[in-house]
Amino acid sequence: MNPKPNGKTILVIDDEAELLLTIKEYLESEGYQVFTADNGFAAMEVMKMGMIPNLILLDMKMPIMNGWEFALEFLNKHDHMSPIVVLTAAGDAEQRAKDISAIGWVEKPFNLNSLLNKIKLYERKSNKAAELPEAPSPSI
Amino acid sequence: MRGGEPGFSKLLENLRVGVVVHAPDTTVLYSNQLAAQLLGLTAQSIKGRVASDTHWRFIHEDGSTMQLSEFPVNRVKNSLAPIKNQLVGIFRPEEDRVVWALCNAYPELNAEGELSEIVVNFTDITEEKKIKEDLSELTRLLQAALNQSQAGVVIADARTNRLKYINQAAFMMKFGLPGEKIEDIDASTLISFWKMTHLDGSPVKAEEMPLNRALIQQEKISQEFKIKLPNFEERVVWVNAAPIFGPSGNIIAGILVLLDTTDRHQLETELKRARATAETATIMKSRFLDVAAHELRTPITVFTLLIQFAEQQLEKGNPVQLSTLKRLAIQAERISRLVVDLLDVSRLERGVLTLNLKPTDISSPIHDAIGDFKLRKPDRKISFTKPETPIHLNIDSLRIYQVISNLLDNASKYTAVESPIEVDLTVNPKIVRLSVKDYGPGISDQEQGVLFTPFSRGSVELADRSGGLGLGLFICRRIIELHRGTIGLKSKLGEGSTFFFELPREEKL
Repeated sequence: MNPKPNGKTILVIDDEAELLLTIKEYLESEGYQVFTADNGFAAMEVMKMGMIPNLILLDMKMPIMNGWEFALEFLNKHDHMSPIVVLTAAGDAEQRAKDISAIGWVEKPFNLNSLLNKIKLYERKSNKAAELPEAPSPSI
Repeated sequence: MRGGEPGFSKLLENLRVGVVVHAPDTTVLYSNQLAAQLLGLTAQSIKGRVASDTHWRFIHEDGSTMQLSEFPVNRVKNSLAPIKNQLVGIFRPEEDRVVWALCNAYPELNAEGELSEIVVNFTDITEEKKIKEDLSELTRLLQAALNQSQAGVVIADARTNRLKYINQAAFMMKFGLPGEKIEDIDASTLISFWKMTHLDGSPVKAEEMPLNRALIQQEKISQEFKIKLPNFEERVVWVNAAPIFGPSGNIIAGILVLLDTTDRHQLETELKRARATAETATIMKSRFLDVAAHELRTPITVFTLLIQFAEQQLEKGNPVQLSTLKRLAIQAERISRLVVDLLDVSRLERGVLTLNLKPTDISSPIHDAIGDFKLRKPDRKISFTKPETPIHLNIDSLRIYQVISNLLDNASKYTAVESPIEVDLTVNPKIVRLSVKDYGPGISDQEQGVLFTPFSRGSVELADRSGGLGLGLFICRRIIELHRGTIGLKSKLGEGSTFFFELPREEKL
């Protein structure tokens, strides 16, 4: 039942516990290692422990520290170390992605296949982008 | 004067004045044509008659019959002094009308100083008198009309620049002008008298005052101003002013007409406010619908994802976990709760939500609500001491359960897991009070004001932040109100919040 790990980590940040759990289970079944946080502050705490993910799925509306605040702090601390994909139900998903210089966005509601396809697409995109300058060195 | 002298007689006939010459005993010696006509006779038939002739009935201006002694001829006869401008009404029975004449009479004395003749002349003023009466009637009518008018009318004399006339409306409190000595009031002082301002409150300059403009520039003006009455009442008035010209085209007066438009202004302001409120309400409702749609979308998203996940597991030959089904059920329950909330609000707004009242121990819905809350949030610390004896109230147990659950969910939503929630029940002979205390961030006064209102800006923004419909407390409030109870909260920023409701206890249950 446990698939072969693909060695990639994804951090999912969303205040909707059930959504987090479902995405985590699904992406794990696709071989990803998945960390979750229910707000931006919790996500920063997770990363303080040294985990810098290959991709961040970020909800915008959250208590304590919302998506915008998280993006600002993350970019300050870690630059563009991990590409961010905005996860939103808002109509202006594209604008929100631009606001925080995210690599892309996934509109809620989505289905699991399309989520996976987008994640793969953004992985390729960010790899290309990362290859031009210096490849990101793992922190720690 | 002799009636027989032909040249003199002709002159008398052509006069516009009636002349009668009496002997000292009042016998008519001579009358010209006009006098005879005025007296209802001919120059011939009048001769030889005396003042007491029954043919004549003279009357005073008020219509009463004149005594013989009051006749001009008799007055002169008795006093030997001339009389001037005595008004005499000559009643003409054959025509049933009165001819009005102004009489002058004087005595003619002989060399011995004895009365020889009495000369009476009559001027027919019937026409003039009628014109004067008509004019005075017209004046009275116009004044009555002006005084009936709600508009204040002020007329200022162009020569003196002082007030000449004000009507009742201007005279009365309405425009606060003093009623006496208006001729002492200079037209230019009205600005300061009324403390006239423009609608925006800026002062009115002398050259902007319509009456001044009418008098000086001879312009017609129509403009709105604010004035203050002596009783400090502020009114909005529509001011019209115009010059009045005399027959030769020179200005003789300026007229100012003031219409009180305060009520219309108020109405307009209220209308604008009502429109703004309605627009805000519409915006709030549409924002609320956005939030509602968003809130429904989240559990539907999770629901859909869980089904997709289960499908994929089955396709891969993996079993579907019982936990997945349980999670599906939770999402379905959540969707159904949101829909129930929406329906409740809709029913409450239409006033069709009814209670199923039954005597119930209040502890029972509290117990159920806390029990279910613990199932939903097993990590939360919640305290409640059940009273020793049951307290029966006439309530809809399910609805009270709904209120308590809502208050518990709110308390947990805004506080950390380890933060305790305290449920407390206090009872006195009149009321039962249930409170739910948390140690969360507290709620600002501003937010407190709108917490129990649906679709308000505050409640929608709170809803945005907390991820709920923001309707829960509104529904709670209405349920408690339907129970004739009250709901409220005590909260300070940084010190947590206590939500409570009170239900009345009835005498016998």
